[in-house]
Amino acid sequence: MTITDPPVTDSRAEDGGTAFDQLIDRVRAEFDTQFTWDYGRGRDGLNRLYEKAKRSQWNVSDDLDWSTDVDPERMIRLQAEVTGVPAGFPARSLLDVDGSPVASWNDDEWVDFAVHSQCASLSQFLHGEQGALLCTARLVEAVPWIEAKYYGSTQVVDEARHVEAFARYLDEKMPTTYPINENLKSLLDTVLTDERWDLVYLGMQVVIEGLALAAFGMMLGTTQEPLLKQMLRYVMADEARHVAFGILSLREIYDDLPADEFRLRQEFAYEACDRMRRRTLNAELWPHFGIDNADIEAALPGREAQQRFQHILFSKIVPNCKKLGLLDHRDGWLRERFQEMNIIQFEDWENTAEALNLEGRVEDSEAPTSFDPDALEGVEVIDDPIHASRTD
Amino acid sequence: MTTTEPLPDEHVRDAAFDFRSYANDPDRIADFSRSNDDVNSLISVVEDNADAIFTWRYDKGERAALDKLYEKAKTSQWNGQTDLDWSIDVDPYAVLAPADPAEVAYFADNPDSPLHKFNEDEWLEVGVESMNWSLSQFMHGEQGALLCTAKIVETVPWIDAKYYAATQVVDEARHVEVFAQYLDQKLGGVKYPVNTHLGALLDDILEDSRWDMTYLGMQIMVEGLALAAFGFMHQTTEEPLLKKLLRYVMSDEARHVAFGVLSLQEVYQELTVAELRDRQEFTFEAALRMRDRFMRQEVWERMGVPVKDMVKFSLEMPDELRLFQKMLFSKIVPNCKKLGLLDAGDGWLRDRFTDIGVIEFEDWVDTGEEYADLDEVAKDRELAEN
Repeated sequence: MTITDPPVTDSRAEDGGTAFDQLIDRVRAEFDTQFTWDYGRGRDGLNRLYEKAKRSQWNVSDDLDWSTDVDPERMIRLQAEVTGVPAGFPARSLLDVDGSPVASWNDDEWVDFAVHSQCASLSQFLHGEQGALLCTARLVEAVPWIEAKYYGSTQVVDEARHVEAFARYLDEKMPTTYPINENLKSLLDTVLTDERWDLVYLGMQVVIEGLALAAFGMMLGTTQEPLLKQMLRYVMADEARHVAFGILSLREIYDDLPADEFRLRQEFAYEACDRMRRRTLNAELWPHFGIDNADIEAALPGREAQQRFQHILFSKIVPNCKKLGLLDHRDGWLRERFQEMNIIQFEDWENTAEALNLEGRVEDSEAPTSFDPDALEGVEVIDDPIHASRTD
Repeated sequence: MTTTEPLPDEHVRDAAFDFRSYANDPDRIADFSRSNDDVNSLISVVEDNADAIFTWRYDKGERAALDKLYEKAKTSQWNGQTDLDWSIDVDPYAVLAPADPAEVAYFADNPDSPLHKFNEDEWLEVGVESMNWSLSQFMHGEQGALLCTAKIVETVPWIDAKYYAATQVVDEARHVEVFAQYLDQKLGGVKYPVNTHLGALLDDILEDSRWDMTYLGMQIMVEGLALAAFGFMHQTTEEPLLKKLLRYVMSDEARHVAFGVLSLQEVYQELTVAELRDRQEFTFEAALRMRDRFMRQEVWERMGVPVKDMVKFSLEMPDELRLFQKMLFSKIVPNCKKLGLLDAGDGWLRDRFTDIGVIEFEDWVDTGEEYADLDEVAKDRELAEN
């Protein structure tokens, strides 16, 4: 039998923007759904996180000002002016490379590129959020603890809201949407197909969400567009809870894990980080400008500006891996890998679970507002990171 | 571009299964009415065979009715801790006596009844145990709904449905939370594990890889029955905390059933007669299980009453006394009609619903229409503002 979707024409494809090869993607999932018959709520950290999540819900339709006019080109020029970082950075550093494919680009072209780069970033946020939506729904099914099912359910609705927000922003305010980056997609598929539910946590909550949190922070620190700023602030407040969820849950699991199993988690974390690093090359973006990805892959990773940009993206993942014991377990295998990736310096940055104050004994006073500004605690806004890295 | 997705292999049903003879056969029902004796296990595992589906079509509002439902769900969220008054004292003996006097008389006065010799204390105990049993089953059912709805988020290919279903996941978690807390704090804890019939139905729904079956089983059948059962309990209980809890849960449930009706209407228009027949049989099988779960096998067992005799005696109850049993189907039947399931093919499902005496509800209001009227949370907030 078939279920038929109504005939579809992709308007964006006709606009000369993005053509998605297909409209849906299936991922075969082999895992067990677990009922728990123990309804007792003994995990206090998760209980507090659940209560906090309930009070911190917001509504994309009402809480963001969609009447804000967005002129993407103006937005990019203003950002360059205010931050002092030229449009198109860090890719723009390729200008200095001999035989660079972008050697002839003038400032207008870099602005155009930066607009598309912003679209590409927001598109990956969008697709990543959908991946998070599916992964979190899976977690609700697979995790055997009632407190994690409760909290996880709030995250499902958070992720749906994020998809909604990014999709609407791209649709109403930006010129185009890019398809999902293949490195991101393959990581999401790995996470969704694995039968071990703790790897869903590790891949999704710690690595993908951790990277997203840093990326959102970077964008929030640089953009001057008020609607995007507000949207990112709200999304980040949710994301900080999500990462905390991963840390609180995994710590309990990892305490009891045999050494060989633990090593598998280290390798998984490294693999996931490696794929996320490759995603920052924006392979879906360059062909749009007639540039071969191979040229970019050869030149861009070596640029210091690109490296700094990339490293900051790992500023949340590394301390969280440390907190989970993943860095130094046994022979410190993951520490060595992170040293090779030049991201070990973030190991003592503030940990997301602590930053959310979930470890403390005193819960914040409860304010039943539609949006809880307290949830922003622990969300570290990286102010103007690129500019900072250029002047130091 | 058109996406035509073949669904995985049809679920193979036992062709020899005679629904008609099972439906009203007390021996066979009772044989399957062993109570769940696996009371010590803390988890139970069901294999999930479904594909997770990414959609790259993010156009919100393409399905306007689902979009409206999503927006409604966002603004009608409530908090199980702060919106209910948990300081209310509940005396289970004084407040919770839900039995219908005519029904009690049938079991008390009839010399063939296994409850014939029950004294007043024992009847009180039936009431208290039945309440704990009912709420325990509601709670287990809500956990099933939580898992099924999470599965729908993964498996449905429409973005509007993924958005809406996400709100339902958090609704279902809230329902598990409040029923668990009520049982724990007010009724001395959960005494009853999941009923065999309910558990079997939940497992079937979760194991099926076709996403429309998850909708049909969970949104139309389990939630439709829950909506009716909550309504009944809400009318009969005078306990203010439980009354409000049920009002709020019901206002969510009405959206959930509407979600099923709105989504399946679209899907079923495309199905062949044979495919629809498969859905009809699934529906009827689920209906029987839901009916049979309400025979409270576990309560009778706990009270030392022969279960088989009780089932037999319950099935022989005169039609005019079966008010509660019938009312359980007051949402399911009109919703099935709205979906075209009653009369598809040769009207197979109409005949089966006639056999079990519930066809009279076919023209009652369907939930695709009434969910907005049932939004008690919104009503309370309006009142509070004025």
